[in-house]
Amino acid sequence: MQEFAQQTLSGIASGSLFAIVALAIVLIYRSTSVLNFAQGEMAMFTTFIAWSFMTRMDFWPAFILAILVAAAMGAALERLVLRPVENAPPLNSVIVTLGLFTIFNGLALWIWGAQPKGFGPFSVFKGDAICAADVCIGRLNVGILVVSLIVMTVLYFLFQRTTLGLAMRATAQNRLASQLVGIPVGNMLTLGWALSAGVGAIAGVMVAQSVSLTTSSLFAILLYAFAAAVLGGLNSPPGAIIGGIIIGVSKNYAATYVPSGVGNVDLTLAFVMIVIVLMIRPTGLLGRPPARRV
Amino acid sequence: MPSFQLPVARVFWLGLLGAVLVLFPFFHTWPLLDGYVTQFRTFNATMFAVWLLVVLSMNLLTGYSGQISLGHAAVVLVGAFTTAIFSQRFNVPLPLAIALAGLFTGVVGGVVIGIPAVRLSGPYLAIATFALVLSLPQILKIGGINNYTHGALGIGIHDLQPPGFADRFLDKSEWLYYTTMATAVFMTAVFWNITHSRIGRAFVALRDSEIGAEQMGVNVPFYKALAFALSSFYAGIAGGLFFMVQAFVGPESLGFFDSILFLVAIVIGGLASVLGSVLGALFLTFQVEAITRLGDVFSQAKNLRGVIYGGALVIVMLLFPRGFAGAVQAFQSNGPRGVWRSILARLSSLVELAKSYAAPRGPAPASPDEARRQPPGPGGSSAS
Repeated sequence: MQEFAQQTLSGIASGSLFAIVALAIVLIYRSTSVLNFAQGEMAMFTTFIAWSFMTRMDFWPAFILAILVAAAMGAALERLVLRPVENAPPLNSVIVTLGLFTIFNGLALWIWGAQPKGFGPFSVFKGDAICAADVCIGRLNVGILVVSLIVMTVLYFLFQRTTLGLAMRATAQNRLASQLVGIPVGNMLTLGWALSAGVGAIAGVMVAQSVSLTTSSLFAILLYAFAAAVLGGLNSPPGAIIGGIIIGVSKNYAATYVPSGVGNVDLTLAFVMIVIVLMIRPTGLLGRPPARRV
Repeated sequence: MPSFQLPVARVFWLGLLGAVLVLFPFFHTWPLLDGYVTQFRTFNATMFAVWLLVVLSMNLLTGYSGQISLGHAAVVLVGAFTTAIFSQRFNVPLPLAIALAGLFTGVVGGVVIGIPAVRLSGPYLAIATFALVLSLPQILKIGGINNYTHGALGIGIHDLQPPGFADRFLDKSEWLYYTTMATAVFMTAVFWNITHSRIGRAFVALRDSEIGAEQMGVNVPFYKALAFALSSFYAGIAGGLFFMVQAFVGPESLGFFDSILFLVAIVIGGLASVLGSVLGALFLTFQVEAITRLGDVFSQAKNLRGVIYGGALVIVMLLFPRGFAGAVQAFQSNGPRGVWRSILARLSSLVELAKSYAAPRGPAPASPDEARRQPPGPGGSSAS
């Protein structure tokens, strides 16, 4: 029982990593209806930028500066690269984001090399694990969960309680109608990319403190993040967090309770989860089916 | 009765192509071509035939039918493993094993991927196939399954020899070349016919507008599943040939990066085009060598491989959505000026787009209706 509780808690802890990356994926899909395969690599790239800042200054200013750089990068990418394919079918934009995927991966490898970089954990997240009755969770993982919840809450208020958020949701749902009521659609899409690149930078910096920072450290998480986003619903931020935690916990159960003769099944589990969700409920747990114009 | 005219030019070019393909393995023995064509090129040409089938298969699914698959490397890998298991464990003759692998992946692709895919649109399908290609190596190593796949060790081929009747004049590599190339040529011809038939037009209709296709009486679920089945069949055959040519297959033989390369190949070659598939297969055949050669001139080229391919993907997608095949067609109809004109037209339309977004009060630049009227697949309506 104690082991079960510990596995659950560690699962929640690793799920927090998936949740925060899934949050960035969901955010961009929700505001631009583009599925960004480069999300993980963009986050990795900006985490490397954060790392270079941190060699020169403290954690917090470097963190905030990295988020700003990421947001500017996201906005620039939308303007330059994504805009021409935004009205084309999803195939074109997926191809472009896959191109960005290999570009960022190659650039990071070229600039920073393949050696892992020491990265945190930073003073706020350091210290002994928090324990209650023999069951422990690392301080960093609590920190990641708290950060994800804060980001989600901020996003919730932005999307549900402000005019700007309303305009962004309208743009994602129906571009033509939004344009007719005077919403600057182009700016909304740019803002959507900037926001999600910023959230991606937060995710990258948090994740890299837990696993070391290499050019592939976020790719290892991307599949679970996609599984989390699909499970929770591709257009639901709370769904991304719940999905991330479910994936993290079930991954830990699988690692503990699947007999060792079978071998590793963690990636397979993510794949099976995605397939089951898509076959039974393609909108995910909390997602809403998109309205289709005929 | 209409008089039958022999298309002289076409017969000439096809005959020349056939002669080159038949004589290719012996080019390196001719004094004139010595130094240009080495024996290694026979292997290149053999791999080209394998890649051609892979690219055709991917183009059928993505270029013609508009379904995004990031898991194509996984389907090819399954074909290779099926061939390996049938031929090495159950001693099925290799050609029969390859055919069985094609049937197996075709049925699996049509039923297991195709039928669920009927309900899934673009991004979901991309995620599911992405998950497939990442998890397949692990699945192949899972206990029970690894009795057949030999887990991480992979499966090698024993004593592949040309059959007795060919033994006298062909060595092993030449025999591989002829069998692979003959299969590829035959399947390309079949592919050309499929895509120019009722089935191919149904695929294109499906890609351009599902609702429109439905209105025209296309059975959407059936043709979607058929696209997956046919594409997986081609991929399975390609996988079988891959195993035969490489004489080995392991769980990591093909992975996510290869899937991306296949995508790069069809995009820069030209979506929804047989010519584009041939160009894409040439790219796959020579990409490693090209990057190595580039590395001699520019030492960082190898590290920048991802940047070069990704950049090519983005630039071609934005500037030449019909790939090299589109440029060749423009050249055929209007000469070099035609190529320039099509590039300039694309550039100016991009500039227009940027301008119209900059002025938010301007006329609506690209309403959904307009977007629908544009040729939705990057290949446009040019199903050649």
